[in-house]
Amino acid sequence: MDKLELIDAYLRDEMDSSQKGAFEKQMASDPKLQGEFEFQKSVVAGISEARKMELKAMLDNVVISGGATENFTLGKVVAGLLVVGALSWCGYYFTQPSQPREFMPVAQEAENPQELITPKGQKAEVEKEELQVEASSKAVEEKITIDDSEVDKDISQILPKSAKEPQINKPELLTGFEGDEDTSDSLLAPGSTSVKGEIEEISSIDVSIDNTRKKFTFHYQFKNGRLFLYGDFSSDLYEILEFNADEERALFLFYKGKFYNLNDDQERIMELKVVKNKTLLSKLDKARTGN
Amino acid sequence: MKDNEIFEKICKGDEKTLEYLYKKYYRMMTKMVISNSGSEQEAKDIYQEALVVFWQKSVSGKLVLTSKISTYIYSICQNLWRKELDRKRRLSHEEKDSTEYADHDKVERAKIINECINQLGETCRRILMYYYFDGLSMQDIADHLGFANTNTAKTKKYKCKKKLDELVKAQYSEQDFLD
Repeated sequence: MDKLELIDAYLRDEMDSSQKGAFEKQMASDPKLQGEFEFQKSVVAGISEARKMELKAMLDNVVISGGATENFTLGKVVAGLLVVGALSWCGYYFTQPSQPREFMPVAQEAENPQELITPKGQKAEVEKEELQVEASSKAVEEKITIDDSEVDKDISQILPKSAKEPQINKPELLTGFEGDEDTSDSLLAPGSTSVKGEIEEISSIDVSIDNTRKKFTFHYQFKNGRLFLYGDFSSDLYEILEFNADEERALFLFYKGKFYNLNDDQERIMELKVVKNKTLLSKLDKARTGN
Repeated sequence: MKDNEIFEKICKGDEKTLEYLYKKYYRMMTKMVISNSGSEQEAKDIYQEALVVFWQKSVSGKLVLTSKISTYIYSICQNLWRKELDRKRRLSHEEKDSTEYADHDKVERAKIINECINQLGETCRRILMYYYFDGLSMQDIADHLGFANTNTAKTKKYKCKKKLDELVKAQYSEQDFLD
């Protein structure tokens, strides 16, 4: 082993204690070796420092959810537009009592249609309506869940007619839903069948509302990949905004005009905290409204 | 991702997983510093430093993880922050001047070496960093950088180090002359 290899081995902590002792003894009796060692030590320290700086710079570029440097790509904005479009369509659709048929076959395709519509005798009655809208693009998908009592009223007005009409089960109305579509949601966003080939994955967020805990009035947690919202969320629409890029994901809740951070690592029940950062708020708002 | 999966990936030198880890515990770790009279920036610096320590120990194969990753990193953060608070306390007393001079000298030397490292090609930079900081073996370096075998990695490392030594020595002489 030459001099430099010995120094390398010492600096990389590859020597055992006896080898170290021998090397230190050698250095003590050889000032030239001592000088070379000090030089090599400072060079290696410099290399280490450069690598540390490089790693820290890499970490500096990591987007922290709810932080000030949320990075919105064009794709994310487009996805936001899609979601808003889908939401507007739903709002329009369910206030038009003359077109119930397109809704019904989709509902029949859902895994648990009884969760959507529960007819009682001749009179169909909607007890609870949960409409889930999904809009997806290659890189981004967002999911919006609507829980709206106003919509319930409109649907309940049109459902008795629809329930009596056997045509709603016409197979031709189901064209385009050939079973390979994700039917786990009650309603797919309009146009979603036309972009079927482009959809890579469907959002995995399932949302549950729990209004039974007195202690948690505006809280959330993630449990087994499911988002649990605690509190009364029935008085207004709520939306979950999901931004995906590579393996990263940022989630936000939009409720009563405010955005709230959602950390999908949050396994304990945590109070929902409003997003205050102005830059982030403006970007979230743009992504949501498309303006 | 579970702890063992994260640790396995980091041991293999997967920088994406380090980013994932950074994001995962950011709030938890920075909160400790902030709630102990630290600023947001100090908290971030301490957390990054702790993660770099964790990275180096994992990649070089010197770490046997016996606790949760978060527990381990948290304890590094605590130690680093304790040291930093001690340093601040000392700085506010009489040792201030001598420490400043020593730090200044160290910073200057590090700056010179950094400039020399930047004059090397990207492959040389990577080889030297992987070897001296990450503690990778020649086989790992060959794998990471796509070299045919360990001998190629060894030869390249030797040449790169020699070049860096020459550059630094030249800079040091110049600096001595200027001083």
